[in-house]
Amino acid sequence: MFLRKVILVRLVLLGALVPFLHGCATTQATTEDPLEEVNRGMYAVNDSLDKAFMAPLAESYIENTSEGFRDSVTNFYDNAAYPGVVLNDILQFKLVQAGGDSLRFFINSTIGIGGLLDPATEFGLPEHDEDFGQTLGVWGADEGVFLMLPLYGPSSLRDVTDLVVSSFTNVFFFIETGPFGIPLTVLDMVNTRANLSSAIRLRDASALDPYVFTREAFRQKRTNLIHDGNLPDEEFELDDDQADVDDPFAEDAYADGTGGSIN
Amino acid sequence: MSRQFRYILCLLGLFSLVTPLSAEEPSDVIDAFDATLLQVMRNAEELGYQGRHDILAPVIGKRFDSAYICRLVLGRHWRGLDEAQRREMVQVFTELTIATYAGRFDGYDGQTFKVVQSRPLKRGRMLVRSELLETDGDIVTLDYVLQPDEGEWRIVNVVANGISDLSLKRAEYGAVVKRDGIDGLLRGLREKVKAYAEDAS
Repeated sequence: MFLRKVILVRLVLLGALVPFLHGCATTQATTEDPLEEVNRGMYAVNDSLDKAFMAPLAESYIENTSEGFRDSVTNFYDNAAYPGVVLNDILQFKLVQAGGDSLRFFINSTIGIGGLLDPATEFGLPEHDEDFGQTLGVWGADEGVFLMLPLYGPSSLRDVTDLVVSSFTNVFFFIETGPFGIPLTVLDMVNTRANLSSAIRLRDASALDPYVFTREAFRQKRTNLIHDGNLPDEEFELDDDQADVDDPFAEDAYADGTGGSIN
Repeated sequence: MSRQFRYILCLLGLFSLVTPLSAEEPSDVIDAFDATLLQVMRNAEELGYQGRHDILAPVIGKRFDSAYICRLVLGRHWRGLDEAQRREMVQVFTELTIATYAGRFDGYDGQTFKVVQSRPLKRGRMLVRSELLETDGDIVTLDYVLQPDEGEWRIVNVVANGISDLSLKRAEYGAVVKRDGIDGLLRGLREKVKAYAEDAS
């Protein structure tokens, strides 16, 4: 009874967000960020918590485990969440892919010993990445607004819907985990953080503004996923019609003789 | 002149306009760049950071149109810079590009590069799609946008796994300029260059 109430509440929340998801999916990422102040604040909080707890935990985890072990853990959790991929395949009308992904879930859950191994890839059924945010994107929704969520990190009004949807397409929604619930969640978080370690180090090394870096990299990744890696040519066009000058140092490229103002 | 002869002359005239700007096709440019990267990767440890830097510097200087990239990255902020600032900006930006490649391509693990496809974009540009294949089967898609510059094809954007370096930098540098001005940006870039030199082996 309680479970049904929880599902109902989630569905209502989902419905409430839908009116905001109007507009065609934009091809050029904008740098608009109406909630930037709040988002930056949340980013700072997440970053402090990460440096204080998650990063050292992840480093220790990496040091004390083999890559093979971590791969198995990743496979396990990815497999548990895989019914969500099948659902979103169907919602995006990728029916052949849905068939393949169903088979993949079945094979990895059985022959793959509860998802620890990944024989399905060997059988020609590769892993796909589909979630409800991508489904909405395929249906034509743009991101809405960019959101920096506590713990989860970068998201958007469109993509946050997946937090709701994926929770009840996960195998653990249907299985009583009993006392293993918390350890399972913690292991998932640490393993995920460990997988992100090199990307985070790369960001910290190269970013002048890590918040903007995270936001823009996230947006572009979402666009790439929505297009399944096949970006349309508009994504590669350069937006340079505002200063269509061949020689960047040409006289007429100056705003005015005094050097102009930056605004 | 007979009409046919004039017609043939016209065709020849047109043909001379559409012959390739140089002997190198855009995909050749990327192949050559990849070959340099592989060379640097294979000898990464012996060369050390400085050795890698010295090999990559002329290649990046030639293959990347950093001046054009800077103008695109800074967008409207570019208009407000005088010539000295612009030259400084391009110089620091080029340095950072070289430092980034020299810092990151610091080892070899059996990777290979493969040019997959070339196709034209608007305004005479070309898109060259390539892949970096890791030994564990992972593929990183590397898409290059090139444009002609004085008879040569030069890189103006790299899109790695769908993430456009140009868009990323434009958003980031724009935010830094808004907050700290152009001097703040130059300072930040120089610090990054220094960090690569110091961190790397």
